[in-house]
Amino acid sequence: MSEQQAKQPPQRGLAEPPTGQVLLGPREGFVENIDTNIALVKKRIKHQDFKLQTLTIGKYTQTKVVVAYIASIAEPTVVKDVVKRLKQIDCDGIIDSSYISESLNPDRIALYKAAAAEEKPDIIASRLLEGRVAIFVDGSPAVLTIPHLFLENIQNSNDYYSGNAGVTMKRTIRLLGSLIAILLPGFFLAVSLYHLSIIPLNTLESIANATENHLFPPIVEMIIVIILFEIIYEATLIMPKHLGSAISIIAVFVVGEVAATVGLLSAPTVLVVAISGITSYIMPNMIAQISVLRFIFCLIGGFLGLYGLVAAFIVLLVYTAGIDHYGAPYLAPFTPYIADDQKDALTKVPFPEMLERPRSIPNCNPIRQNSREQQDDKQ
Amino acid sequence: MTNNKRHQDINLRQLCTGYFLYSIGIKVLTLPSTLANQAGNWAWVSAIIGVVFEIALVLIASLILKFTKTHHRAFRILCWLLIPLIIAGIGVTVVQIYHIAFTNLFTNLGITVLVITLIALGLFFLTRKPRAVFRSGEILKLFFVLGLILAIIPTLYNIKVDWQDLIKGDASQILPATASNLLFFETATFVLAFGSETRKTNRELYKLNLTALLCGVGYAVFMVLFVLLFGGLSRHQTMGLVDMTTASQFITNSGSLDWLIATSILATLILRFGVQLVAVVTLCKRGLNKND
Repeated sequence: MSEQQAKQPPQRGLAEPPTGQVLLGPREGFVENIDTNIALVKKRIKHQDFKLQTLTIGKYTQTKVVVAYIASIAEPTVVKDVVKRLKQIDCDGIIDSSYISESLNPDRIALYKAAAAEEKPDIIASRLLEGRVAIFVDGSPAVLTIPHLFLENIQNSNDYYSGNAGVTMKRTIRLLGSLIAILLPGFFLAVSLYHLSIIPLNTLESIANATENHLFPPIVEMIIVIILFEIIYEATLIMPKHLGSAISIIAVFVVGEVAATVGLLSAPTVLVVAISGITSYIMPNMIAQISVLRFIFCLIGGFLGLYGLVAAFIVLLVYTAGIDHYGAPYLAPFTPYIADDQKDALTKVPFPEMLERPRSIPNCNPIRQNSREQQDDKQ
Repeated sequence: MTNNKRHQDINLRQLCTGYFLYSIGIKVLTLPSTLANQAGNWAWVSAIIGVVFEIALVLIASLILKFTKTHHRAFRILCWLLIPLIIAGIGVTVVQIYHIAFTNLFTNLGITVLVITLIALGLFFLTRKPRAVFRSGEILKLFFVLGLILAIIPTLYNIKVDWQDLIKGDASQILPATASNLLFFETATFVLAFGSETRKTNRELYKLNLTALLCGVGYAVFMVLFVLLFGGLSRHQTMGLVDMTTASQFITNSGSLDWLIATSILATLILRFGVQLVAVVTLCKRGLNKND
């Protein structure tokens, strides 16, 4: 390869990323070239206040990292804090933006990410307009935004591009889905082992019939099925697409059907893990966290029952509620409850009604748009 | 102070939610075992005592705040004297958790629940953020409302009013237990309300008092209604639970919802314990709010 070729490496074409597909709306996605990515955002934000600050990180990789923000909206202290943390990174190399993401987390051991990663320029532009700071990393199609809230996991591009109808229901389902994904296996174990009295008699009879004379005790069985599920998930993720579907078929027939028929695993356990598994995909950015929490809650439910589950849930809640990265409480606007931000939280009002930027995110310009009356007066 | 910085503080709504949780959660759904055992149909008297005691304590707190500037040192000493009271409260709460953990409902899980409680408290300290406890309260409140709705709605199908219940029984035995049960959260809130963590103004404290008053009155009304509707406490007397589960059995075909009530109690106990400890730490670390 000539030196000239090395200076201008080949580039992948723009395509819709698999993580942010929409029914209606922009389909452009980021690529591995930082200049292209910045250009895609600049195409949407043309104002002179859109600022870029370039850094070079990595002793050997000399990776170009760009901090982007809208100067008249973003809180200067947040920008300063982000740049300061980036400058503190002293490592051999940055291969992907996820390396930066971990370094930007103020907590040494953290369950949740401090920065969101997105692959679509329209999402990044909208987040910049809310006062967030974006971080572009050369070689990575994932752009980071800071501060990151839990709320972002239940919001979806389709909510904004396909009208307001049903948005509240969809977001509620996403939230419930994540709770089901985390708690269902633990809850099932707790109820079937310690709180049989709350199961209706007919259901109890069915469960008893399905689980009698089984090889493993319920908790061991549940752990086996969860581990099998994780193995299948990992295998499907890594294998080529056509082999992935073959693995799915094997998983369904061998693990689901045959194991239950032969009596190695009980049908209710497989069903519970399957429901939990499906619901965990409802928040694509939280799959890893949900997997870990599901396993922990499963063990707690199996050993300590419902009381253990509740106590553990409170521990999780307190931990999550205590997270304040870059001046934004992680669970805002649910707690601390911010009334104005409920316009685009679990419920969503039409865009003309969102007159102010979210208060959950630090910003120095709270007004997003004039009201309809003000706009009429102007005309 | 910018809005965002304001969000970092424990705000008035969170304090009020705390009050709501403790007044409605602890004092309505639970009573000390001994109290419930002896109270019978006169358990509602504890509600009246609770209201008086609660209001008095918080009003005293407000007065101390009002005169802090003029009698700075003396009142600060007075406030510091509250620490043993809070520590005593923590002790009583531990005993309460211990007793509830060893009731039949919890069976052999009692010890493990206690261990988890301690882990939870350890986590409160690890976070070193008192606001995390109060923020959790805001979310837990929703679970409480859901639990209460689940428990109360079916009772409407089973209303039996016996006015004679109001004038039966002997209330004298419940007084000491009631008094001991009312010292916890008020003191903790008082300290937090004064602490530099919260930076509450007099006006905000009065709002807090109003919340306490409403919670107290609501508690009294609820207890009176409860005695009227259900004729006192039945099978959960020994563990200190008000028997709403009887009515809750309508929800499922076979079993009861004991776990729902017990779970709510455990949740509030853990939270209350956490608040008490956080209150002590806050006061010890930062002292009283000198600027207000």
